[in-house]
Amino acid sequence: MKKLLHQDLVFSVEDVRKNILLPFQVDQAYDSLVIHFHYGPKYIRDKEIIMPQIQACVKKYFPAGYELTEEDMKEYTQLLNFVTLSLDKEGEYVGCAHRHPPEQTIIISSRGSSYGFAPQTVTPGAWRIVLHVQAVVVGTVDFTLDAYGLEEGESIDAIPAL
Amino acid sequence: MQYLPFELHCHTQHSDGTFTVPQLLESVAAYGYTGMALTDHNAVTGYLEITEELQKRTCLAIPGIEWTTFFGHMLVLGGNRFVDWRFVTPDTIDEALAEIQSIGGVVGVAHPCEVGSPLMCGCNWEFRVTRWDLVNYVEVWSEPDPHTRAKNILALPWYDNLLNQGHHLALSAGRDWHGPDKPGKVPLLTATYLGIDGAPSISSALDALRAGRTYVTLGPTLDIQLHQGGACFGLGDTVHAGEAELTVQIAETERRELWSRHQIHIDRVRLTANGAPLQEVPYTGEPVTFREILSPGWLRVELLGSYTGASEQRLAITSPIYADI
Repeated sequence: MKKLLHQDLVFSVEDVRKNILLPFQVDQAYDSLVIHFHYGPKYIRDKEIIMPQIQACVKKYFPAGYELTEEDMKEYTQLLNFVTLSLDKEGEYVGCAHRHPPEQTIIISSRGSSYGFAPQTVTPGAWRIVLHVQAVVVGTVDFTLDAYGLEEGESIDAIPAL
Repeated sequence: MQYLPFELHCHTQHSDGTFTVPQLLESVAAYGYTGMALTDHNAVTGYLEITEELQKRTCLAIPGIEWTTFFGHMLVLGGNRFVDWRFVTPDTIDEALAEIQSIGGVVGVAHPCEVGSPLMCGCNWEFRVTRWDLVNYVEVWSEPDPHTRAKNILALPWYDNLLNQGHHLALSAGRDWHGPDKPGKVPLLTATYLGIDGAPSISSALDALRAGRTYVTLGPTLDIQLHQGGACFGLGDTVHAGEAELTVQIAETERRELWSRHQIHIDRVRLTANGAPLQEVPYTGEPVTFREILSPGWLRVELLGSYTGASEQRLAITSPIYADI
């Protein structure tokens, strides 16, 4: 097992709508590539923060005189910080984890990959993770990512962060 | 030509849905749809799980993806290779659209008037499209019970504004379906009916979207024919301005067990032209005929009526028939 990449990042409101490029080199063939990331805080439930954000959104996105409906408001009892991740190899798209859990482990291998990612042989070359900063509601979001190359017979249980 | 019901906006565990792929197709089939489009956020891997056997057992599955960008969500169906969604910007969208069309893809704007970040990340359509001829359709109804949501109240005028500018765009409904319904709970479903030429297939469904042969409905089905100069035309076609006769036949039998529980009742049939009501007649159960002198632009049919908890709502809306000079 070899650690191929480690990143500690802090995102603020200014980073929203940014793609963060994290290229890394794989120098030998591996049985699988394991990407583990976590970020937080995830949930913002303070109404004093949420309500002004809702009002700002309505003002920004709706024509004057339009409001969210009662049914709409049921969706916004909490707001979420949100970072998604995609992966490519030698410029070819491998897939994306567009889902909300703030801690995820993604496995890439020729036998099959995590949901959203194509089965892919982990061969030497230029790989790249792209983080898509979808939402930072308020303050900052701490983000940590590690990528490992695992050889045949090695288990993800050997990865310390897991 | 037969109009058949499709669900064109669905997610699975391959993005943020809770459905497995087989579970999604089984759910679509259980609601009487002929087919569905698999449109996971930024992922196409769900389609690897779809076999001929699964489709035979459930429904037709159209491969797709929902481009889930910072500047809008876009449904991309079909196409013979992957087009990377990640670095498109409001000012490069035309290039992306051209690339998608060049590989045989079909493009739909998803829920264009949803609020954006941080409430609904990237959901609002902020792309500055100048080549609307590279877009095929607009999702005017998003989620079940569409009239309860502000995004849908805003989407139809947004779409009409594009039609008024002379663009030819079909309309669609999409549940944006992420997971199974609770047992016994059938929400007020929408369906996009596609005018399928020949047997239902991926290519005939995509052709229907390209040609504008679509309507959306909460239940009742429509057969629209426009007669002009001895010829018969349908949704998506272009006729000449001037005299025309349009007939509307309505049926209330298909998938009725799903929607009748919502007490859907048709009150009136409306002909809308260039964004404004042109004629309206009460619905008596008989076919309706409109005789009109068409102005250049577009016209469509709408069914108006009531259902549990709501009245004076659109129950069905067709894509336009266009009239040139």
